Amino acid sequence: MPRHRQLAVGLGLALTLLGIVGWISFASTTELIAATQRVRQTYRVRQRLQTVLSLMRDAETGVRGFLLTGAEEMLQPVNGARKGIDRDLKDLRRRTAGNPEQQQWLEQLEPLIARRFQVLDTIIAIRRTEGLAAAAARLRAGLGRELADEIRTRVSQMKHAEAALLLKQERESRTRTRRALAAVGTSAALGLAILLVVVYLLSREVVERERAEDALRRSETHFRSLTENALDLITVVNADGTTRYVSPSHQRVLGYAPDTLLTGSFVNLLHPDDRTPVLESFARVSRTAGVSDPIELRVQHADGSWRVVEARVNNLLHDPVVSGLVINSRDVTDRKQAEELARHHQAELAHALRVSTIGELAAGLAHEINQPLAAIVSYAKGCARRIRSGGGTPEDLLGAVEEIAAQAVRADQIVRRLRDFVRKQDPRRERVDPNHLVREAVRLVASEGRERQIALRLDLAPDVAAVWADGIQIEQVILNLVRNAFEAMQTIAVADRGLVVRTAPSGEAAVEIAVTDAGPGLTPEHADAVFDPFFTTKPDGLGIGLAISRSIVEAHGGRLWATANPHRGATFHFTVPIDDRGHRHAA
Amino acid sequence: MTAGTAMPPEPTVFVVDDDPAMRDSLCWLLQSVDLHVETYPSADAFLAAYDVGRPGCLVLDVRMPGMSGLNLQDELRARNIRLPIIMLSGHAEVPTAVRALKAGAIDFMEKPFSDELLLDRIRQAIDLDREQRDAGARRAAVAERYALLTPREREVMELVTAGKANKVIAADLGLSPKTVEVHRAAVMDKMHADSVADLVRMRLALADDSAPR
Repeated sequence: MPRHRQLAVGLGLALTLLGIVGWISFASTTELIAATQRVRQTYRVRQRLQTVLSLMRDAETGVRGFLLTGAEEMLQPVNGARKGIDRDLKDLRRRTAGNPEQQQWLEQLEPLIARRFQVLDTIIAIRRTEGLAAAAARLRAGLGRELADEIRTRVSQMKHAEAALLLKQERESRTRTRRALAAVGTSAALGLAILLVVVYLLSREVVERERAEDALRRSETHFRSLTENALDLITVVNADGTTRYVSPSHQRVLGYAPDTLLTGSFVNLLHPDDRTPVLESFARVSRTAGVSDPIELRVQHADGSWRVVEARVNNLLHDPVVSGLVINSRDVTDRKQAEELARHHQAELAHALRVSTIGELAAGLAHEINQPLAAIVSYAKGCARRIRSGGGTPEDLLGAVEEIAAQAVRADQIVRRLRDFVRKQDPRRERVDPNHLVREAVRLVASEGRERQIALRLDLAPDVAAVWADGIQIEQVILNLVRNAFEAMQTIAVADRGLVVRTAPSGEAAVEIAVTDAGPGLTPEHADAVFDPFFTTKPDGLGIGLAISRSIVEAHGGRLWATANPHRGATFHFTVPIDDRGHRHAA
Repeated sequence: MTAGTAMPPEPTVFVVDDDPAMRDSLCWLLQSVDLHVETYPSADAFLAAYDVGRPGCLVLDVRMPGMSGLNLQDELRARNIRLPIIMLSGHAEVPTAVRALKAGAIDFMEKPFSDELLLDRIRQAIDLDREQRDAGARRAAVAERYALLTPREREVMELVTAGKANKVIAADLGLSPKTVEVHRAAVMDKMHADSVADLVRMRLALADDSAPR
């Protein structure tokens, strides 16, 4: 139950209990008043009864007085008594209206009193008519005395009854009062307890709230200091594309005051070529939840220069707190420049190595080129001689001339291949067939292989996928590995000099090219060290061939490693990622 | 074909090169000057087909798979085949050239070569081969005749060709000068020598043959 409802319930209970207490108090007070009234009633009744008795006595005294004196003045109290007793009886009747017992006594009393007065009246009449002696005799006869006793008895009983009633009522009252007090006490205690609990909960509530507010304040300050001091750029964009928040770091990184960026459109700051891809990327991210892949875009600095920024968009449109797109970006211009420089250096180094390799291949290559050239000379000279001596048929001459052309083409191909291999150019990735690369590389060293009497075999998987790579650089790697294999087998018997170059798929996304030799193999210590720069076992080697090969392979996203063959020799493997551009940009 | 038939067989230029264009074009060139050519794609193929009696010369490429030109040169020497060799190379390697020449090659040429120079050399090689064969034939004849000499006659021949007078020979061998005269005459006759100078030449020829090479 939520806290506020708990409090409401608690308070409600407390108030209810207090209400009960109040009501009980009210009832008790009423009771008290009633009790007082009852006492007064009893008192009055008893007083009235006493008055009745006293008036009765007055009347008797009056009559006795009259009896003695015969003076009429002596009868004054009698009438007064009569009237008074009448009045009192009426009053009593009224007062004891709800008490049947009293009413009964009264009904008995009234006639008795009436008879008593009758008796007195009789005695008075007798005195008046017959004189003192007769009256006194009547008096002595005693009827009056019995009546008086009965009256006194009745009155006494009435008094007792009234007293008993009062007692009973008092006892009942006391019990009720005790119960009421208990109820009051309990309710009050309970009410107090509930109030205390409520107060406690409220106070805790207050403390918690204060703590939460404090934490919130601190985290806000923290967040603010982070975003304001970050070197990364943080931007929050609404679903409709308007900018909601631009972190102060924009000033430091791009030279724009955040306010200016809130009003203008980001798109205008982007490089024209990047606008469409960025907007498309935005649209794409807005449709799916989560964080986008990093995208690179060029943004114009306030000073006019272009900065390369790497950005990630976090789709928080459905997060009720943010309901926007949060863009985290970073100025990577320096990094990109450094990468470019590194790539350039690597290309230069690779080129230098290619040039030196060509020098090492020179003998074999010269041989390759000179073959067609020599053939051309022989054919041409042969034609000339035949023409001069008149001994050649047009068919023969034509044949020779066509051979000349064919040999010239052959020479051109060799030169072209060489030129392509040596050309210094920035690494250019393109779709190439790895088998073709292997064949080209092997062609460059075929004659050297023949001279070294090495049996070179190609084991190329026919269905291997095209790779995404710089063909020249990969050829360079293959060349490096093959020539290393040549060197390794120098000391092996001619019959055992076997070299195999193999291509095969490597998993789903790469192709593996492996060069297996039958040389002495690699010792475990050398297996890794062999890739270190300047490590070489050749007396005149530079030792950077494998280091460069590895850096070329790794720049392509592949791996270069060496394994020992089960029987003899070593195998150098490397992987090149396949061309999956069709898949990658399908989103 | 056996040696010593009436009509010497026509000399053949044997071309050994693994490159078909080279073989073809050389063939074309050599035939344009009416040379007889036979081509072989490898040293092994040539060795299998060649008969030592066939005159001519050998045009050989240095770099070949299997047995290289230099190795073939060694092999021919080992088999005592004296066919003159002209080496061709696509790359001027000084150590290889020196080795080939020291081992007796007529010449070592770089491709592409001058056709004139090559043809000249081939002609020289063929001539050389013919001379060698003739000399060989002559030597063989001399050796044949020498084989018919008696031991004593050989001794006499030895001393005669040493330039010793009959008297001295007689003294050396403990024979009478007359006996020496008789032996001498027999030697001259058997050896078909017209003069002492002839005999000396024959003696030298014999020595050449038996000298270690």
